[in-house]
Amino acid sequence: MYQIGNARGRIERLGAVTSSKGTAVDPAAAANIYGSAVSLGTTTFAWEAMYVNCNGLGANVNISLDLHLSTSQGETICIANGLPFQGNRLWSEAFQCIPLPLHVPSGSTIYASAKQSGSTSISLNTAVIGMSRGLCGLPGFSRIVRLGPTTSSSNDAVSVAGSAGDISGWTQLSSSIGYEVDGLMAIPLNRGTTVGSAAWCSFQLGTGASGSEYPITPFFWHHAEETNFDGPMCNSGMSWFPCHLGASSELAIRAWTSGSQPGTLAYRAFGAIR
Amino acid sequence: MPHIPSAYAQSRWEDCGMSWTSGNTTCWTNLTANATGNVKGSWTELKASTSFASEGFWLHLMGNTTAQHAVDIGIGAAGSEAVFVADISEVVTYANCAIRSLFFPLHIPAGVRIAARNAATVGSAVVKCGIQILEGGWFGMPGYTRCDTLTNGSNGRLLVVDPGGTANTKGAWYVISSSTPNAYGALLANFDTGSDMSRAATGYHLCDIGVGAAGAEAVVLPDLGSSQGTTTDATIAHHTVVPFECNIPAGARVVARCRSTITTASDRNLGVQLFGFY
Repeated sequence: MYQIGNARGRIERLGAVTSSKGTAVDPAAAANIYGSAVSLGTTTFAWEAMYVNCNGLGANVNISLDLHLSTSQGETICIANGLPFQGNRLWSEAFQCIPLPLHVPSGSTIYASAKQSGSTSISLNTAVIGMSRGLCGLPGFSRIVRLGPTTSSSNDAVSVAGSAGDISGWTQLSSSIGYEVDGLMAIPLNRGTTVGSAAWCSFQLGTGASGSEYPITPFFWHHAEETNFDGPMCNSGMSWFPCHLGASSELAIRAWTSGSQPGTLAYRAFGAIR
Repeated sequence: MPHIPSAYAQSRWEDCGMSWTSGNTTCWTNLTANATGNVKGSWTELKASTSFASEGFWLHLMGNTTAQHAVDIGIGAAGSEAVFVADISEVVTYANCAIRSLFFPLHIPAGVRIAARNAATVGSAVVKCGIQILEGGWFGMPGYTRCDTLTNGSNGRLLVVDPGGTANTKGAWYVISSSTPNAYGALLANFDTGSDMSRAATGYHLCDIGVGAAGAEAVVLPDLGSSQGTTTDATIAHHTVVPFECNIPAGARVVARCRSTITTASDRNLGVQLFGFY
């Protein structure tokens, strides 16, 4: 931790630095069942943003990671059902870091738990880096929520059909998102197939009644690689975009892909609540 | 909780050098390096005139030719471009795989022409590039005016940091800048493979960024993670897609050190580059 002046700059990492990785968060060795919550540590100052850093699976599964805060005020779920991480057979090349503009009080103990789509014993190495001054100076939001359909499955996501060089039609994520949000993020999850050719993809979020959607974010670019990865290993789409939506707003997504494969892309969307 | 400004309720964006249209499978702009290695190629226009003032932009780079690339972003009329962001490193070890998206919280006025150029270790190598300017930047936060590239590597590329031969033990500090030319309010770190284009080992790295005189370095950014694999040969690090806010005074000595699960010489190295915003 280093600080010059008082205005900004306190940064700390939670999650054991074990073998140059993070804390092992183990899903249950059965599909779609959460493993035990694991403490990543306790914040020593208030955070206004964090990066969630995960890697290491060694199995071709999808993960949902939840984060909980335990404070003197009780326990709060700050991310539920959940941040997606896709494993593939290249364990060291499945590495994600997701920026969250989230306020975390000083003295909070951060717990992580995960579920998976498979049934093998795996660990998700998890760490968080917190900042006393938010990204670009932004004060943190109170909660990050999942938007769109959720099921008990770790694979739940919305598939967006696409064909080479074409923008797909809109797929509705929700006819009423249920929260008033001031920021949106979507994360590409997988390509819905384990065989394909290299492709690069992008997606865009929109709102409006079904059949009358209009875009509210840019196209965010990401990459879906070939059979070596079976998934979008490079998730540049993890991009927050400022956008106010009322609780009764619709949310939809559409996508573009450079190749004939994948013809299906899956995403999860999140909103930031004041 | 702290007050959150409400000015960002909705903001415009503009694609520069990127185009998402049906029937178009080349959605970016190719930057071709000079035929001579490590010499910048010609400027390529990404946007003739920005439609509105913006407070930040996403830069997207994607590999095409296997090489070490150094991309400049420039602003100004054709033939009079001035470097706005210098020598953004993109090490391409696996074509069409090394995608890099970095957020630069920099103010760009309306009506500005944006261009880019590239130098590479391989003559005439190509890297794919595009920019998305955001009127409201990062949730309405005002952008910085300028940024310096801190690298201390050869040809404007990444500084190669060797963790040493003991696994999971921090190595020596390497100097990224012996004296920062300006005071910074934020740092963005860019990691890659450094000079090793063919990884023979798989593993993880943690990198510290520090400030201070030799022997008195203090950690500013702790344990930024990355990993690498042998299929792509790439170092995968998304820890700093958006800069960290931290005060770095002018004249500061900025350093980096890392630890790794890998002990094999060269394979264990990490390439480090910083951008300081002011």
